[in-house]
Amino acid sequence: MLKSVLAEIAKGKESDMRRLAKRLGVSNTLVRQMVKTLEKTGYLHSASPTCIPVCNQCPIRQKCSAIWVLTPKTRQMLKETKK
Amino acid sequence: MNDSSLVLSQVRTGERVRIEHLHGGPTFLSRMAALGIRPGVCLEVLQNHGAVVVCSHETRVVLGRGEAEKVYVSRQGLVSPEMADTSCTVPEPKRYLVALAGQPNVGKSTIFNLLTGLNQHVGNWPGKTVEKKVGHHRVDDDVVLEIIDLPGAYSLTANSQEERISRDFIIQEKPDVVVVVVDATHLERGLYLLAEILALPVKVVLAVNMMDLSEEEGIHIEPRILETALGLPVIPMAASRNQGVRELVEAVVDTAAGKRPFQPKPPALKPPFEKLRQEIEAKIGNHVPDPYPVDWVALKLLEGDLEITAKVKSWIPPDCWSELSDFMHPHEDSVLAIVGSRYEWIARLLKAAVHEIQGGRISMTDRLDRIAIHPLWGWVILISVLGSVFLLTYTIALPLQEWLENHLILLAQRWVNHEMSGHAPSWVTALASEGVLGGAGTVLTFLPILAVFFTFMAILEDSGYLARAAYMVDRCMHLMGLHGKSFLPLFLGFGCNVPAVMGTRILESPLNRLLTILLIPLVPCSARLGVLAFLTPIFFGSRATLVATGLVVFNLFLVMILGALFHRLLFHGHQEAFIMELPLYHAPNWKTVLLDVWHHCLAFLRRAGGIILMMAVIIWILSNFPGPGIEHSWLAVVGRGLSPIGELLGMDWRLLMALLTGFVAKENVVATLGVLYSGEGTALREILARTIPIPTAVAFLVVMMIYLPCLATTVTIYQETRSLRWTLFDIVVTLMLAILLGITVYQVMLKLI
Repeated sequence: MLKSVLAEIAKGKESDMRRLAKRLGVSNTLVRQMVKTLEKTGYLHSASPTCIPVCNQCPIRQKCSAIWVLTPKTRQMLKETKK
Repeated sequence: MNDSSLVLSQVRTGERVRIEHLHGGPTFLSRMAALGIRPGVCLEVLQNHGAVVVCSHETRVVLGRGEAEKVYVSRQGLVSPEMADTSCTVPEPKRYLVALAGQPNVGKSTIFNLLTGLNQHVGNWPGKTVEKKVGHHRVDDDVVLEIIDLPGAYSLTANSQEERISRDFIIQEKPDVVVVVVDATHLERGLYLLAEILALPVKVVLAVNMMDLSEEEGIHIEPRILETALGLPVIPMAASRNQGVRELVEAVVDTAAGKRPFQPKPPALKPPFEKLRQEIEAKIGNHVPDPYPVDWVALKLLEGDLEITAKVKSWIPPDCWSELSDFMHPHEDSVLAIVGSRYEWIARLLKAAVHEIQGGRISMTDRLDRIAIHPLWGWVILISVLGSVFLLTYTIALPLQEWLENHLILLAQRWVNHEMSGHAPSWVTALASEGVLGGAGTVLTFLPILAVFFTFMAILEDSGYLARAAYMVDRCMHLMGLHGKSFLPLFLGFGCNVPAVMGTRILESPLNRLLTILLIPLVPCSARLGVLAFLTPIFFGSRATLVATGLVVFNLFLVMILGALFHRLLFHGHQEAFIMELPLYHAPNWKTVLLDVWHHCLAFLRRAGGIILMMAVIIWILSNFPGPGIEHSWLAVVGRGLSPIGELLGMDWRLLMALLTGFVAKENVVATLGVLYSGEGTALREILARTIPIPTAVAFLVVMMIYLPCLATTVTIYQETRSLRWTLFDIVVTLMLAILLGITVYQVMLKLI
């Protein structure tokens, strides 16, 4: 199921968590939980590495924790899965 | 020696007594029962000075004198082996070790307190600063539950000290039963922990707490279905109302005693991963020490659990470890399959045992989002909302603005002219009247428009709608081949382009970042929206709302089209996938809204008293010297140099100059108009309405909404891109685009009207 979540994010058709939950047929809470797990295991990350030195002054600091992107490891894994 | 009137408070220290009966209400009886003080029980009196301390089944209980006076006893002799009355010896009760596990804030401590009452001890886990709570619950004469309240944990993956303590306790102490307490309103979260505990060789009872709250929120859970699907006892509870505690105790005792079936159905791994786990199990089986379950260790190795990996490394010989590492290396992503299988299991359980959520905040958001971010209706809503904001702004603020202009600025100008003439050089009087009051003063009359406009925008932002507007734009960009988390900076652009450009730091791809930076100046900032709100009613009267909304939506379309174009031509279609969580809709917080409006108005007043005032003075000087008259000024010379473009746009040099000074700060557009069109003793709005034809007005506004980022934004673009080339590129592109669109609009309208 986690791979499905990553694959759906990679497809880019649905970038809103609630709509992704609907697409997968699961609850919003479960998708949120899966995203957190994927973040913990290094498949998604919520902040840009380039942000770290200036994060405190960033005007969107409050909101940026609500966005996650695929990590290079995930992109590599998905590419290999496609092959 | 038997005396039915003897109460515990009369018994001397060192005597042994048997409880005959208790005299008191149900609360007293229940509390005493929880302490093990009930008829038939033998007690040893350890102290009888002040409080009465007795010992019952090796447990010390302290009773107040009032309580002790309600306990009727019979003497059984002195406390000594020779004098002990064998007739009152109660057989040692069966003790079960029960661990309470669960996430923080699921009501675990409430259950622990209900079960143990005063029979609890609080300390620390050995070598840790985490609180350890231990207590006991006497079920009856035969059974006592030793209860450990494990620290709150989200999983057993050793991500935190609490999780490590919980899993070490379960593995090493092997409790008879683990009670997993879950929050019925967030069942998914608790079930993940349950899935992990079921991988360990321990009996489990599931306590679904807060059932009352879940019912209130419209979440209907079927405990019996859950029980069948899980193969273990499931107890619905509302611990805060003392509901389900008795049933929980019964289930725990029966499960521990083997009287209740316990055939758990934990998440199953897919065959290839199960085979993999078995292979690892075979490789490490001989090296894993007791009490670690080998299958669980193998599973955790596959999951990449750092602590277990380190332990295994220390358990097995180096050559075996090296072989094992090589074996596991190609399966690094097994964690996805293992954790994924748990989530699939949870999803199946939820489908079977949880009814659809009805009502509540989340479903309200879902219902609203069905329309608000719908590919078609979303745009209808967005346009309607923007239109309503403009309409309301005009309806409420324009009368105030007009009043300020007519009664404050014009009167002030007359007063200055009257008071200063003869006392100061005529050019100083004109500068104060036309430059300062006509320019910066006119900008100040914006204040009601901005205050009302910012109030509505703050309400939209705080209620969660503005995030949807940005999402709509971002999604359209994606549909056109562009993708990225540029959504947030674009969203910020509605307020001010400067923090929006800085906010692009969250984009790790330099290409995506650059693209977003280039697009941000097209997002109409509050200053541009303020100028728009001021000028549209002057030019278009009752159709102002329509024109203003149309221009904002036009800008948003430009963001999308230009984004897609830049993306294809400059960045060759590189995409960045992301997932985001739109905020829930909620009633706006008035304090936040008012604070936001206050900050915006304050910033505007500061600008009006600073850069706008300064620019108004400069513009006045440039437009009055060397003279005579404005037509022979330096500004007119520069403006006439631009007349070829002006003719195509239908604008005279004064309008062109107003646009040009808007580069410093967008509000300067109005300040310059105020300077260049003042001096006729009439309000600016009347002069503009009389002298500017409709096609010119439309072209002017189109250019104003698109052309050039302001100076502060330009500097920030340079700071963030560190590239003069891209900064100039952005200036040139927006300027060219504005001129081309302005010319097109003007020429088309000329033909139409």
